[in-house]
Amino acid sequence: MTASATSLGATEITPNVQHNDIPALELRDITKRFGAIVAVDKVNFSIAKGEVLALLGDNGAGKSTVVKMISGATSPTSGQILLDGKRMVFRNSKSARLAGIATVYQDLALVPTMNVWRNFFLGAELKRGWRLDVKKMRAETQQVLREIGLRNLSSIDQNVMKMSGGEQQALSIGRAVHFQQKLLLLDEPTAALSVKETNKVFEYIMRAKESGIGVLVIMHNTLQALTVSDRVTVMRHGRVVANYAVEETGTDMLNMVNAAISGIGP
Amino acid sequence: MSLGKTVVEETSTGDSDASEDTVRAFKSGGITRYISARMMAVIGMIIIVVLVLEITSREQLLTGLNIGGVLNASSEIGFIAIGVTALMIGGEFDLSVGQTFVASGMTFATIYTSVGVFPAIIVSLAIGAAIGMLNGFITLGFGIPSFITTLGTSYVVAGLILMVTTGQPITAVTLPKSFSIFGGYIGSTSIRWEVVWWLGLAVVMAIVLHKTTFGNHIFGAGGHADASRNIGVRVGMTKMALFVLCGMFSAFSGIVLFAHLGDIEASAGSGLQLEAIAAAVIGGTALFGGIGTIYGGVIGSFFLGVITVGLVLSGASTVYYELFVGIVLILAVALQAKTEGITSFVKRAVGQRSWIAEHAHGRSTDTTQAGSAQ
Repeated sequence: MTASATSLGATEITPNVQHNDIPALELRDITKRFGAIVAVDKVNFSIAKGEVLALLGDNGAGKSTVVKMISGATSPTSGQILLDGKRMVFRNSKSARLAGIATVYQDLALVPTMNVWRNFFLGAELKRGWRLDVKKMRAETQQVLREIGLRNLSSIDQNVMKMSGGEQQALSIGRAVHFQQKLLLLDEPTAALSVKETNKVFEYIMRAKESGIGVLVIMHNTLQALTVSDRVTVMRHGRVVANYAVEETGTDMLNMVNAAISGIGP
Repeated sequence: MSLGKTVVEETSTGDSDASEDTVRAFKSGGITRYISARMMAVIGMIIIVVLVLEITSREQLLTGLNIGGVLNASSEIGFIAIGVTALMIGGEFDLSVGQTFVASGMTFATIYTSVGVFPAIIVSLAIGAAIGMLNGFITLGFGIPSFITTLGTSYVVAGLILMVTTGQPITAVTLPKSFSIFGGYIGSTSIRWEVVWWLGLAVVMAIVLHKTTFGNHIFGAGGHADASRNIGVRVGMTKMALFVLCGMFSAFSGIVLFAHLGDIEASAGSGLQLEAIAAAVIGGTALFGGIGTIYGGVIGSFFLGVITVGLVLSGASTVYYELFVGIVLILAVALQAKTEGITSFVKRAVGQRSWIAEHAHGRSTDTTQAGSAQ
């Protein structure tokens, strides 16, 4: 856990959530320049297996550029990405996905006109001979959704466009867990959700975490981030400015993190 | 609550909000139920049109002889409608099918005497595939909407046809016996073998669409290309294959036309592209992709066949055909769009909500698996 700059006086806390050995994801001095502009400046952080890390920061802090580099949408100017201890160079989002990084975007994850089980196995269909093994795919989808806690779905034959936003997130998360991805990358998973649904999504994230997957959540809402994560990392102006282990979600913690985000030192 | 039983499958829980969620899911409707209702509306409309034409034709339409005629007429547009429906589900259009039809049919008509019937079929299909591939390359390579691409290629191919034929029709002096595999009548019926080919190919294509990985990717590519790409579907390859298939279905239709008519001319394909789209849309294929069925396309083609033959039998001039198709097309789509509202109105009026729910759901499960294949 090489937490970096404490330049603005934010307290640095070495995280105590250390699962086994090698982190699910580690970023070493990741930098991204666009011409003269340094969007991301020597960012370091790591996510252990079975750990939820929330990446916080205001608009333009560099969060989405970090996400793009991890998901393979763009490549870093310098620095290293280590997945499960192995150094990775992603040429595109496909190579990142094949390496074990499941990125769940708000509206880029599912095909709205397809039903639940077809979405679940899209691109990784089960077959018996040349035919789709519909029975097996339906059964496995049913089982995974039950495991992750999505039990109120009326039917796995219903179209995804008829599901709520929370249910759609659950389906995407369940899919990442089922296909044994190493890292689950969630970009603003609760941005368009009701309070009730947000809590549900947090439950699903917890199930994913319990399965041993590393989870990186990008968020705007500090309180939500503190609720769901084991650690929070705060970015500002392209740098990591603070790292906190979340032990309690009280007002002090909230103020401290918000101060780091906005750059007003405590 | 009785709804719960029919809708929840192996997912019932002890949660207090389970039934609430179930009701919500039910209200929001399950597109599956919606689609099957849409198809019911279309089938209901066909029945009404058939009955009207039966009356105006003085009970001539539903005779054995003329039912055969309807099927024969349906199959010509039917071949093309299979390809167009699949392509539209994949999120693309093909306005060049009419010209592909003519180009391939003419190629077949020109070369079968010298190279033999079977090789001529292969060459003609290859021409259809090549035009489809060209459509695919331009559309996918340059990111041009296929509506525009295929409009362009249809003009190009039409121009080439006129250049080569100088507008002269190609006529067979005598039809070889082997042509009867398409143009011959089945036993003593009035149904041509091409109807069997049509329905057979429709079944094959439906299986491909709903039961194979390729088919699954077609629905994905048409429903949300970016999401599908994101999860690893080769969207470009899938669409390319669809363009090629659509070209081949059009080519096949051209071959079949020549096989029973013994004559093909440059204008034979005019309007076919829009008829094929009409057939697909009447059958419930969404204009924006991701939704549709092959059997819908078959039903749509059948509808057009019924109108063609029914109007002739009614003594109406063929000038009424297009007028009639236009009205029917708009009615069919309007009906489909409003089906949900109509069904819920009927439900409230009849007050047998759970009965309808049970039946609609029973049917919709089929539809999803074999039909709409979401």
